[in-house]
Amino acid sequence: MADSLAITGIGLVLPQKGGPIHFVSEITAPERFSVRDLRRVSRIGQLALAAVDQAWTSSELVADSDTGLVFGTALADTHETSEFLRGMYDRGPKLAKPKHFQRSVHGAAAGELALLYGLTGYNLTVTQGVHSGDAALYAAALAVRSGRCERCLCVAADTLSSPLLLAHSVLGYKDVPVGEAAAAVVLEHPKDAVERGADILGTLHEGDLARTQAGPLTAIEDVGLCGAGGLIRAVVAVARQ
Amino acid sequence: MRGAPIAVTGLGAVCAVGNNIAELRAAIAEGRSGLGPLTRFEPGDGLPERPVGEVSAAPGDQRQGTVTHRLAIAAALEACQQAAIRAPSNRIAVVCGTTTGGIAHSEVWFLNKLAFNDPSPSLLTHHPASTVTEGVAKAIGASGPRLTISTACSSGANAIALGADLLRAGEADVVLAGGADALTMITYFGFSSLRLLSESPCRPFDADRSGLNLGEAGAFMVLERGDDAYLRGAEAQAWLTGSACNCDAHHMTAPAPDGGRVIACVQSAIAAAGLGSGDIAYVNAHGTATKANDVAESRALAAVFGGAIPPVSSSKSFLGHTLGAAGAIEAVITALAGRDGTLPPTLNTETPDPAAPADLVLGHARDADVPHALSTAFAFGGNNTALVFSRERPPQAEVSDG
Repeated sequence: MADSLAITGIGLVLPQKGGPIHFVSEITAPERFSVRDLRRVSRIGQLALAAVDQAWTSSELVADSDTGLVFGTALADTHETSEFLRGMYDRGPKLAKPKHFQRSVHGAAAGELALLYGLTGYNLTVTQGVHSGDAALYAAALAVRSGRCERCLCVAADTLSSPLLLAHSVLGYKDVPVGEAAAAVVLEHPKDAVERGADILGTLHEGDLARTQAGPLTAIEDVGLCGAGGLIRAVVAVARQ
Repeated sequence: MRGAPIAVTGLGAVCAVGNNIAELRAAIAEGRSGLGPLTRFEPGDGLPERPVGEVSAAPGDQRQGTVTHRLAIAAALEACQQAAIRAPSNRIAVVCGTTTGGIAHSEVWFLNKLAFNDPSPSLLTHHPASTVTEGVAKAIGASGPRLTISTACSSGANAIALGADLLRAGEADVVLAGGADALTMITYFGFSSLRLLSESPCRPFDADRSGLNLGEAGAFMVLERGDDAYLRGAEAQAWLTGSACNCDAHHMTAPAPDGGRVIACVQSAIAAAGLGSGDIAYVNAHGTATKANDVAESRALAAVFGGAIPPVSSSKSFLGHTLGAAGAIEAVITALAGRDGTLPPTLNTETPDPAAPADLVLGHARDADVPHALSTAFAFGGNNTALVFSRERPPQAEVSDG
C-alpha cells in the first residue's frame, strides 16, 4: 500500500479524567438529528456518532454511495449483550427483548451510522481487541487504495458496562485503567480531496499503519485500555499538526 | 481498479453435514441435510423445539477455545493442507469473519454470575471475536496481518473479499480467509426473539416458508495471487474474480424490500469479474427462508438477470444459517460447484414462491457446466456482499470494484 492518503476530517470523544475507570459522562448529540432518531441508537452508536459528526462536518461530506464506512470496536456494546442475557435469565428466553440482541452485534453501530447519514457504499466492521482502532484505520486505507470507495469514513468506538468492568476485574486487570471513547477520520486520495475542495488536515503514510498484530495490552493516557486507542492516537496526531 | 487474479488453492469446511470438504460434497450429492434437534443447550421453557445445523462432534479440543475456535481451526488446517502453502510466516495473513467469537463461554459465565454462582474466569479468556483469528493464525503458523471481520451474517464473505484486497495491495503473499460461528444461546434466543426461527426444516424460496434454522460451521479458503500459485505449481480449485460490498441504509434487521442496493452490489461484483450477467451460470443465494429476505433477494436477482436467470439454490437447507460462517461456507460450495460441475440443490422447498427465481435447483443436485458462479450474503445493519468465482483463470486482469 504505497500511496499516502489525505485526512480531511477528524472527530474525537474522550472520557472524563480521573480514576482507573474513564467514562464519557455526556455525549454531545449532533444537531442534525432528531431526538427520535437518536433514541434508536445504541450507546456505542451514540459515542461513534458524536465523533463521526465532527469528522463529517470538517470534511464537508455528503451522503452518497462513494463514501465507505469502516467501523472498529473491540467488544461491541457489552451493555446490550448483557441486557439481552439478563432478560433471558430474569424473564425467560421467550420474553428476552430483540432490541438488545440486534444492538449487541459488532456491526450494529455501522448499520446505525449508515442509516443516519444515508451511507449506501462500502461498509465494514472490524474487531481486533485493543488494536481495533488500528485495524479499522488499516482496513479503511485498504478500502480507499483498492478502489472499494472514493473516500472512507473510519470510526472506532468502545464503551464500558458493569459486566465488562466485572470481567475486567476477575481477569486480574483491575489495576489497569480502562476507558470508553470514540474517534473518527475521513481518508481519501489527496487529489480527490483537492478536487472537491476539502481541506487536508493531515496525511496518512504507509508506514503509519499498524499491522494489527497481537501485542501487549496498552493503555493510553487519559483514556485507559480501549479498543479505539489506535485511532485516537491518529486523530490526536493530526490535531497537533 | 485492475489487479492480479486471485487463485483459490485450498478449501476447508466443518459443518453439520461433515467435518471436511469430502463429507460436505457427499452430503450435497446425496441431498442429505444436517438439520436436526438442538442438543448443545436447552431450547428454552415455553418455546417450541426448532431444528438446527449442529456439528455433532466438534473437532479439536477445549484448549483451543470455544466451539467457534475449534470449527475455525479445523477448517483452516484442512484448507492449508490442500494448498500446501509455502510462504514465510510473516507473509501469511489471516482474515476471519465471526459474529459471536467466544461468547459461547462468556454467556455461561455471565448467566452463572446472575445466578450468584462462581464461574471460572477462564470462561472469559476467549470472549473477544479476534481470539478466533489469533487461534487460527497460531494453528497455521501465520504472523502476517490479522483482521477479524464482524459484519454479522456477511462476515465470512467480507473476509474473503478483504483477503483478495490484501493480496492485490501486496500486504501478504498468502491469505487464509473465511469464517466461523458456533451455536450460542444469545444467537438462538436472539433470533427467536425476532420471530425468525422456523419450527421445521427451512424451505428457502417456498411460498409457505416459515423462517430460518440456525447452524454452525467453519470454512476457509487459501487465496494467493495467480502468478504466485502458478510459479509454485499449486492447483487452483477456483478463481475469485469479483467481489463487492455495500449497505442498504434502510433498516437494522430487515432488508430493503426492493433489493435496490443488493442489485447494485451483485452488478458491481459481476462487473469486477469482467463479466456480464449472462455469464453467470449458477447463484448460491443467501436464501435464509425468512419472508423478508427471500422476497427481496428474488426481486434483486430478477432485476439483475431479467428473463435469463441462472439456476439458483440455497445451502441453508443443508446447514442452517451459520451466521459469520455462512458467507464463507457458501463461497466454498459455490467454488466447488464450478470445479465439480454440480449444482447443489435446495432441500425441503415444494411450492416455490411465485416471486422466486424461475430455475430453482430443487431436491437433487444437477450436473451443469459452471464457468462462473455468484454467491450472495446479506446481514443485519443492511450489509450486502457478493462474490464471483470462476473455474478458469481469467483471460485478463480482473477488476476490483466497490
